[in-house]
Amino acid sequence: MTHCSLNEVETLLTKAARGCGADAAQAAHFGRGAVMCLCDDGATARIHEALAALPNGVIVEYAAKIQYGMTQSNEGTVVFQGDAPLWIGYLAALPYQITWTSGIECTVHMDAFESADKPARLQVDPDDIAQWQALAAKTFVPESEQSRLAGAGAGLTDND
Amino acid sequence: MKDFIAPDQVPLRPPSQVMRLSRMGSMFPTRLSFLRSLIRRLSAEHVKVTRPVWDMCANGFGRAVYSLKLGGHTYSLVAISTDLPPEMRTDRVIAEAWDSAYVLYDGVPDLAELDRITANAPRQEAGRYTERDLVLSRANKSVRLFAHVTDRLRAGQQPDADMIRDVGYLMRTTAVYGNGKFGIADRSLIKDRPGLEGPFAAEMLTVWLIRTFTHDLVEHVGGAALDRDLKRHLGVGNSTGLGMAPFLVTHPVLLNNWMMVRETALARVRAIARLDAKDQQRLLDLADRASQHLAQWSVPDPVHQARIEHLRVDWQGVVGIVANNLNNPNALDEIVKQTQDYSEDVQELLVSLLIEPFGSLVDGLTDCMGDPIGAIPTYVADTNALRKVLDQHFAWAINTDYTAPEECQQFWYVSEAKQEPRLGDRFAEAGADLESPLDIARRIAALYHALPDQQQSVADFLRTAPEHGLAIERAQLAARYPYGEIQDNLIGAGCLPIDMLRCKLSFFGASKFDPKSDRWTRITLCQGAPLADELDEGADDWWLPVFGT
Repeated sequence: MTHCSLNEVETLLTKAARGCGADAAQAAHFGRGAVMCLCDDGATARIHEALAALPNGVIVEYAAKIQYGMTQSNEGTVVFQGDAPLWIGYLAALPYQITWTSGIECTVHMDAFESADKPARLQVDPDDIAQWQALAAKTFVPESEQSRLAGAGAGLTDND
Repeated sequence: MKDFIAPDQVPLRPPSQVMRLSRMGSMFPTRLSFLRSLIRRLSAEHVKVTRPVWDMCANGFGRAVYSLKLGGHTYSLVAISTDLPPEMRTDRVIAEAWDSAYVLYDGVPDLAELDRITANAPRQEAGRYTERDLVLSRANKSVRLFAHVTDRLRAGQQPDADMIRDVGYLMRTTAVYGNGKFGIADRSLIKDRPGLEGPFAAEMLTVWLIRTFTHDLVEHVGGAALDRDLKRHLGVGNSTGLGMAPFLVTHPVLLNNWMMVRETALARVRAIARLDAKDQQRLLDLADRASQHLAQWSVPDPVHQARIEHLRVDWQGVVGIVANNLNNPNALDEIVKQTQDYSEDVQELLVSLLIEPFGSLVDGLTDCMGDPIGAIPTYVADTNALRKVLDQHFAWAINTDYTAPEECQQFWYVSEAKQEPRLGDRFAEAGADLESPLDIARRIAALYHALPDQQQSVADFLRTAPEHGLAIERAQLAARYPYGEIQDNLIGAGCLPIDMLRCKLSFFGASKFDPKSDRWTRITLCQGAPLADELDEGADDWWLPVFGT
């Protein structure tokens, strides 16, 4: 297993989702939610499934569910339902205080901002990382002579 | 509990004025800049820097450890100096070896940890790190100045003062990585620690300690002490390229908070009804210091040098306006109004000047420059309401024709080779189909024109048109974060990434911008800053440092 920072996993999964065709905002939602999900039980199968389902599937649907739910506020609270681990990860990644009232229902307190407690490290199977890196690489542009010379705008020698 | 009464302030300058690339590319460091905040904190805590390890050969290759205690935590800079053949020395991100490598470590490393860092840090991105490693960095020597200083010290002489003034650093960093990169600690692990709560505080602490190391290294190799005044003028150089530019686009909350604090500080000082004699004199002294600083700021690029020369001339006019108004009521507000016809360079230098003397009024604002929670959208229920948001906040974006070649000439992408941001010519290079989503203005316009005539929930619209997700997100951030968007077309032919770099670097506290192209600049950090043993003596008076005073 590879000991990873949470941010590098989140960044990698966000890029992987973009590599699979997700919109940038939905990819970022997925990165945050998937990391929360990994923090909970470390299982990666549902993350692979979500990525494989793009451009459809839960990555599109969960973003829409959050969008809809957060406009249904009642006196500053919103109730969400659902027990799918990745969905719970999405909710846990929201920057609000969340109270779970049962295994499948939670209340989001929109006036109380809070970031979730997270571990210092994630342990991720190198094979999973390799698969996500391959998906993320679909967003990268191969180097050309022109991009090498001009893309970053730097000179070729920096000694002084 | 005492009630907090917010100081008076005039209305903030609007985002439509402030958030333009050309103005952002005219910014100067202020007392709100992260390095200034950090040094104030170090000074307030009377921090003592120790050097428990100095294992360096006569030629200056080996390793060292510097430790200090801040906010109840001990941090150490591990510095590794290696013998780098000249042909391998490049500041570009394609480099694979550097003169020196650094890790800011959480605690004091034992021998095993020191060996681990020594094995990994010189490899930088190719190494692997742990949550004890807070920041990763590397730096190359200014070979010319480093050799000159060591030669002079060996000969029992001090280095040439003009060279110290003109170069200004012994080494320049080419990357300072934080927040989980390559396995180092996530920012969330240290974001609540006293002294490191502010944006980039750990990175700035690293840079300040690297500066100390460069001073010690040159004295070690030269075998003699460097004059203290010369040493204080030696900061840390930095080469910054496109890799830094997208940050301002992908972190709208931070951008908003930085700009909002700066604008609030300006609004507060403009509301001062009367300046006392001490403040008047201080402003005159600082305006004079700015003149001297400008006189000592020269760059090889002729376009930028011409800009500096215009600024030098115009600044003298501003100094006169300042002097003529100081004794009047609402003097600072009046000075701002009377200088509105000057260039953006002049106006933004003036902002920096006017804020400088009033720490008691503005320094507390720096507590608001972080983003401890994350973006809080103002959710919009239906597409009609979303259209109103776009009309209200994004008029600058929605009427541009982004199919016109000059409005879409450039595209941002990530290179496969180094996985770093790049900028390409859409009509001359391949890769635009893999464009990075920094084209916020174009996306906002696309969303605006795609909104249905028939009202629909935003959620349902998002299900059928997920490609507008980013634009919807940015629209929903606009009300809470009015300074969160750069109000220019970042894919237009006229977009100069150097403007984004200068804005961000000015918040770091950088000075002496030395652009090498429209997408790469050298700067100096920590120039004039207190040395490690000077934190008790006027540790906060180093805005726009001047050599020889």
